[in-house]
Amino acid sequence: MNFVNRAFLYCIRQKVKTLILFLVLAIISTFLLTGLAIRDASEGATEDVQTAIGGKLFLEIDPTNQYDSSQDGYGMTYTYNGDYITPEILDAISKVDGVVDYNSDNPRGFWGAGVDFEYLPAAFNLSYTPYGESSAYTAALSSEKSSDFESGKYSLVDGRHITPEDKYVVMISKELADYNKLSVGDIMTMYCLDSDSNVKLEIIGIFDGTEGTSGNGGFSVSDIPANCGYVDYTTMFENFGRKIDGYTQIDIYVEDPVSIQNVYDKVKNLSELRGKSLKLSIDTDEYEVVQAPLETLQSLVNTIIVIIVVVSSLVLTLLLTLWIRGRKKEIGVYLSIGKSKMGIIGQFFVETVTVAIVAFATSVFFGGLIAGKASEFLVSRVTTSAATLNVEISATYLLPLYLIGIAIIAASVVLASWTVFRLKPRDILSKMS
Amino acid sequence: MSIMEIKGVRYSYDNKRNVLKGVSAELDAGKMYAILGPSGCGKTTLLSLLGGLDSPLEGQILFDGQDIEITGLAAHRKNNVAFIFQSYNLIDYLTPKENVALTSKLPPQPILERVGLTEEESKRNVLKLSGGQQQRVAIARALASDAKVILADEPTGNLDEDTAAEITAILKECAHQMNKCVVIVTHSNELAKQADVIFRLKKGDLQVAGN
Amino acid sequence: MDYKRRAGLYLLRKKGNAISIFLLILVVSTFLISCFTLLTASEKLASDIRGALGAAFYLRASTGVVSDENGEMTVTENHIRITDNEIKQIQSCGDIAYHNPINYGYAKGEQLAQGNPITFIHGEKHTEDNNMGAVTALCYSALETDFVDEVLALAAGRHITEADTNAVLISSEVAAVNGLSVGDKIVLSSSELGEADGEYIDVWSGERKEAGVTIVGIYDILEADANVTATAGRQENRIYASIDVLTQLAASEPSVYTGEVGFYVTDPKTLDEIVSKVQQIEEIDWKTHFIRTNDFQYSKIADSLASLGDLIKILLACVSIVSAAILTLILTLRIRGRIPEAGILLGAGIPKGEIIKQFLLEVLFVAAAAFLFSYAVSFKISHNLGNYLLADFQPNLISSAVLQSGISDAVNIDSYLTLGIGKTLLIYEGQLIVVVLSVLLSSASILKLKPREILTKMS
Repeated sequence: MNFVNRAFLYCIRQKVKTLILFLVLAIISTFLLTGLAIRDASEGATEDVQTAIGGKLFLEIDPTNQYDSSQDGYGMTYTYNGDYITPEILDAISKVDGVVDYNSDNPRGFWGAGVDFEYLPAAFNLSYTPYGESSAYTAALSSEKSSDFESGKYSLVDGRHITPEDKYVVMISKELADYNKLSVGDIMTMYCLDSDSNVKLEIIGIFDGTEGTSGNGGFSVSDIPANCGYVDYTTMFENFGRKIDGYTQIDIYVEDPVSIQNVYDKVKNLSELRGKSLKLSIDTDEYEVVQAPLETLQSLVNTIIVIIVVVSSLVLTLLLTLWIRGRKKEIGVYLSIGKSKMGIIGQFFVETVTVAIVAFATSVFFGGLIAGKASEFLVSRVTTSAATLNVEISATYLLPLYLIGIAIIAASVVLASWTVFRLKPRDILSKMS
Repeated sequence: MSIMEIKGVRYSYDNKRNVLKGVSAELDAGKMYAILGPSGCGKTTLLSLLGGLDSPLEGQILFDGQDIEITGLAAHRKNNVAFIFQSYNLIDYLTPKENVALTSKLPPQPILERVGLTEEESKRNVLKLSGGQQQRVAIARALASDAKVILADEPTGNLDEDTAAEITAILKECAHQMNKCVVIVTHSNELAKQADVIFRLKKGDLQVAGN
Repeated sequence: MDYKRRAGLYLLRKKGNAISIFLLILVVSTFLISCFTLLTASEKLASDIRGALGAAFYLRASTGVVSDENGEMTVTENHIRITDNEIKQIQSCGDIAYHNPINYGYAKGEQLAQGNPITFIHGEKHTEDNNMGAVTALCYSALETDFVDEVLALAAGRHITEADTNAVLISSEVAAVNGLSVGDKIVLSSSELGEADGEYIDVWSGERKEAGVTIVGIYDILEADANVTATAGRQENRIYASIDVLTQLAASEPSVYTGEVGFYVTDPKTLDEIVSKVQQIEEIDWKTHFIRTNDFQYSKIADSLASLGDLIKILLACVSIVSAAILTLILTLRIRGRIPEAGILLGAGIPKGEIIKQFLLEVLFVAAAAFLFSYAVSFKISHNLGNYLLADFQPNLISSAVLQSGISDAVNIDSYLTLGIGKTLLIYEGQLIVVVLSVLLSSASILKLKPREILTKMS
């Protein structure tokens, strides 16, 4: 009878022992598979956090050595004569891989007095225009990315945000809208002193967050936050009083703050930017605030996985050692009837590997089951539908994991058997009494 | 008066073929009994019934005139009988002294010396003792228990002739000098010859074969 | 010989077996403690992330817009009136890191040394009478909107914090014009801006009070406001003062705040809970006050961060279950291997209970030793892991040091990796239960052992 037969018979006859070995192997391999699936999912979650917080590049005009000076009645006047950020540059940037959005803010870039509406009154009302005092508007390309919305100070309650394509649109505060019974879709007419013209703007969005702030030292109409809205850049450019050649600064939003350097390099090398007096810099302030704890959190998950792998190997080795040392008597009998040591090791190896292969197959099934349950649990816990986190068993781990498993089994079997082989067959048998 | 009495005991594993069919016997203290018979004839079964490890289908086993079913099998095992096995069945992490102390509060050394173990041998690892010495420890453990009946299942089965004779002598001494009732189940005629009474178990029937 | 002695002798004589069980329990408990230590660290890190993003709620006065029968719209503006007592009550609603009440007023000033009046940057229709600045009195200037939005930035000195009294921040423009620098003392006096016949005038009616203040910081204007306005309305002339200054100038009542009050919560996760508690406070007039919350930054990542936390918890649930399962299986295997011994003991008249008690005692003793060791080992492991994981870790948190100077506190690594005694004991308790249950369960095979089998199985 060769050792393969013996191994097979052992597995069949020693059902309980085989079952326990099977269970341990199945549990450990299911455990490892699930652990790796969770690690992947947590990496996904970390990426989600990174994307949500985002990183940005900051492109601005570089004023160094780019000023013309002229003497006038008031003193020296400096005029920037360098390059501006043109729509062509914006277009090129928006096409760079990894760029998700861009915005330029020009706070108080447009001033308008109410022709067919009234501002909330301030402590001191000064009439500069035939229509009363002007209030200030921020010109924005993507108002969603404007700092007051990004910080959560304001939030959109009706309509939509301003996008780069918009022309002659306005977003106003809920207070101003209520005060004038205005709603999304209405047209507001403003008198602009700089262009000395009446400008008609369509209300596309209403935001809140200004209520209760007018008392914060509100001095004139434009000091009351509720009177200050957002307009598109075209409105500002065409009513500025003089020609503007482009934007002075833009924020470029990057999908993944971790790879921001990549995007930076790509933007920096755009032919549209070459030789221009423009300055590009990386701004990951917001991301940096959470970067350290977030990265540590991820490496913590990795550490737990490493610990699990190490401990699983230890437990497996310990178990197999106990297992084989518990079969001392059997080894003694085999040695005494002249079976070779290799044959005995071979038998144990075949036994454990056979059990292991069945256990591994089972682990794929149970690992999948647990991963599915974990996914369900996660989905049930999140409040937004945006989160699409999935825990799944990745096929790429299966082969290496199982090869390592078999290697551990082989090593444990050889080591444990060796400790028994050091004894003489006579001693082994006599020790059994 | 006999210490144990077997009254019309019938036993079967499958309720069809009787291993024991209406066996009766009386056993006295101070005597050594041998039950002879071929393998599988029901010798060990009879010993189990005497030891309260199992109950007969019919009939009674009496100890001191009382049915052990009524006084309780567990109590019977605990107080009245002690077993000696072919494979000694010593606890391997206990020394001879400690193995004897398992069942008794008596000082173990005098008992061990009585069965022929020296003080030094009594402190060794039991697995380092010879078979005869291990069986002596098992006997000492049975004696220490204070049980009046010692039930031995092939006590010399693993031993060479000389050692078997020594062990048999010790068991005989237990019966005659310590007034124990010793019941030995065996297929060895040599051993049986030493007994005061020999029973033969044949086809489920127990017969006295001689004194 | 009783079971205690037998258990002791077993452990002493069967060292190999005792050591393997010891190693198993040692590995499992060290494993569990290390993993759970990492869980606490991860929870702390997640709360760092939340804390770094922050969340706040603001107590503001509601404005009502009403239209009369002619369709004329009028704004009824309510005023905030919050006292220290109400702030105390709000702070007891939860973990609030900072609160920043604000009062507004005006002040004129003069230099302490020479007695020269402070010259403010001239606005429209500047006169000697309206040469004043707007005063914003607060607890934490760093949390003021213009500083948060980076309209203004601290250029020299430090920010005002709650601990300050008689402290002010002035603009670099006003500092330059008046030759003032950080550390200089100036005297502010009560004033109030009014308007009459198209002129800006000082309309202070009561007795003029004075307050001696120290310049603790100077700010720069990053986003200039081109608005044409009176001297007191100019950005450059704004004075940020510690909350006591306007009270000294009799421009505000002591312990009463009439500007927006900001509350900065420690953990954004608790914002909603705190706010709903605050809204139950009866002392606050909810007809004229309302709460504006802001946890936008946090809400963007709340789900992902929660999922990350959940994943770690799932992982640890797996760790616990698997540890328990492995422990059970191996102990079962060990006890089953001792059935012959149980048979011998039973044959020698030792009751089953005693045998199980012996097995239990052995395992418990080994477990106790393993627990003691694991405590030491996992302490060492956690510490090393901590050094490895958190070596370059610098949490960027809002702390009072940050509020003053922008430098964050050094982090105490060990504070991230300390599993409380309670939790450690809980892990041990859990393992003990598993150990005891597995011994009892596998002993069931001993209990099932029929006396009849003792002879047949033993011989």
